[in-house]
Amino acid sequence: MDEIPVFRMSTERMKKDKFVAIAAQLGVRGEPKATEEAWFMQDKQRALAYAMPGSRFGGLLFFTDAAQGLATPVSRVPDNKVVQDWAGALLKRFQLIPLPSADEKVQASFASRVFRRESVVEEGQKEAKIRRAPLTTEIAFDVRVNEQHVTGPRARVRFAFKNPKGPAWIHRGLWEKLEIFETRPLFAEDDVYRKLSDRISGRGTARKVWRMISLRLAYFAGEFCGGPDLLLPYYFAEVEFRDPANEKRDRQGPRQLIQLPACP
Amino acid sequence: MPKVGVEWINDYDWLNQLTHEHEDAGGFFDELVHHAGWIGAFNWGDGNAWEDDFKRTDKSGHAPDWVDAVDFCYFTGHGSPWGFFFRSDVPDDGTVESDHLSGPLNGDLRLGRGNLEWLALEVCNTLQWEDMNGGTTYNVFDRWRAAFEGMHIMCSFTTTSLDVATPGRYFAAYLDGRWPSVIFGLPSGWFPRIPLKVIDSWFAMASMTQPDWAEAAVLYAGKSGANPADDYIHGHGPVSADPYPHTYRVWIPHGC
Repeated sequence: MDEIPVFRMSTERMKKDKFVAIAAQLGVRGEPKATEEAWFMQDKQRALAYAMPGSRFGGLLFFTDAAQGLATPVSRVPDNKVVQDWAGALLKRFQLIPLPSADEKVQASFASRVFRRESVVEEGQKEAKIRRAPLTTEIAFDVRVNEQHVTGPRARVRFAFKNPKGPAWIHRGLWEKLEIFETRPLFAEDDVYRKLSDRISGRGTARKVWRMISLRLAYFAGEFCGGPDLLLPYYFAEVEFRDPANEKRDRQGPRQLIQLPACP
Repeated sequence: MPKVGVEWINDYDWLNQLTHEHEDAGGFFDELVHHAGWIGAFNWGDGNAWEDDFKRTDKSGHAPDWVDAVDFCYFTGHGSPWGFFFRSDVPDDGTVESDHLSGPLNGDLRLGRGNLEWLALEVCNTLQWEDMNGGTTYNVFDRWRAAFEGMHIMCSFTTTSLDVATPGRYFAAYLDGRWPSVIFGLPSGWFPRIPLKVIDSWFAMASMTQPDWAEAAVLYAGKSGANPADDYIHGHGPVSADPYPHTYRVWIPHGC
């Protein structure tokens, strides 16, 4: 049986000076407020919050400029390079991307991707025309540990820009330090399929007629619920059920994403 | 006072059972009723949640009495590009169908002539860009544009999403500006509320609850002088006039 490491995450206990400096960089003007759980600062339109270790979203830095709606069309969105440079400078200056681990068995990577988000607009009634309208330029990071995908609200880095002056929205959830907690046996995909089949089978015809669309293995950095702050692997199965009203099976049926543990 | 209504299904009799939908919808309901001053009109679950509550009257439904009688309706359960699903043993049947499922204009939803501004469907795939039925491809506008009879925004997903307990509460906390307390645990008296727009709140909620391959989406209708893209909920910022008859529709996908 293959094995897979389970990691322990430690998130940063951010100091006041650093939080205030990030706020200044983002143009938030106000008095910082702190509890054991979080830092927070806001002005009339912007807010910045950081979740401290031990809180539900420990390691999450969230920024919003509420005046800049993500859905509001703009005539022109910032160039990719401007966004990449702006976000890169913030992340570097405040060390918001974790440093490489001293343990060579923990290899994390953070690859960024810049893209333009557009809305699709349908105009008119009988002879409707479709066009695209620019909304934001965004940067998103693909987070991996030992080449395995890591996702969830506490393993996510995203910036959205509507103008070159600064972001409208930041979601940065990451650890400061990652270490191997223990190594556990990895459930085989066949075993996962069998467990899924047992779980889905039951009363009702549709539940007996289903197919697996995809099965992916990923670490999920979800809400912290006490105990050691573990980064655990899961299988994510996407399944489709037969719609009894669709005997020809010529359209998509109801689908579901099911999260299953990948190790004991 | 604005009104909120929620419906949810865990105990499906013809689809896989779900686990957290009562907490999901209940969280949305509780946040708006107990922290934003809204009137809680209904919280129907499982066998008490009916397709009939969403269905237009000329198909013998009672939407004007329920979904179209509130300002914000939140549904969570199973969905597909062709609709969203209830138990099969409740009035009227198990599916709120889109247009082009059983006929070009035979969809069940015609909302907004009454009170409804916003409909959140915390279900899978309902706002998927396109799908085929009977050999013909229909896009999201074909399936849902006729549902907008004054309704401002539909929020949902283009992909599958996880069955989790917190989307409703987090979404509502972004809407009413209490998110520093609900998400970050700060005392609510420490800060003036900082509400987000309806669309931004939906995307922020998805970012807090879903894996990064999930994709949230919104569909809204507009016309000259009525653009719901910048809507806040009642009591927390400007709300556009009802966009009906609408002259354009806008679909925005948003990766988590």
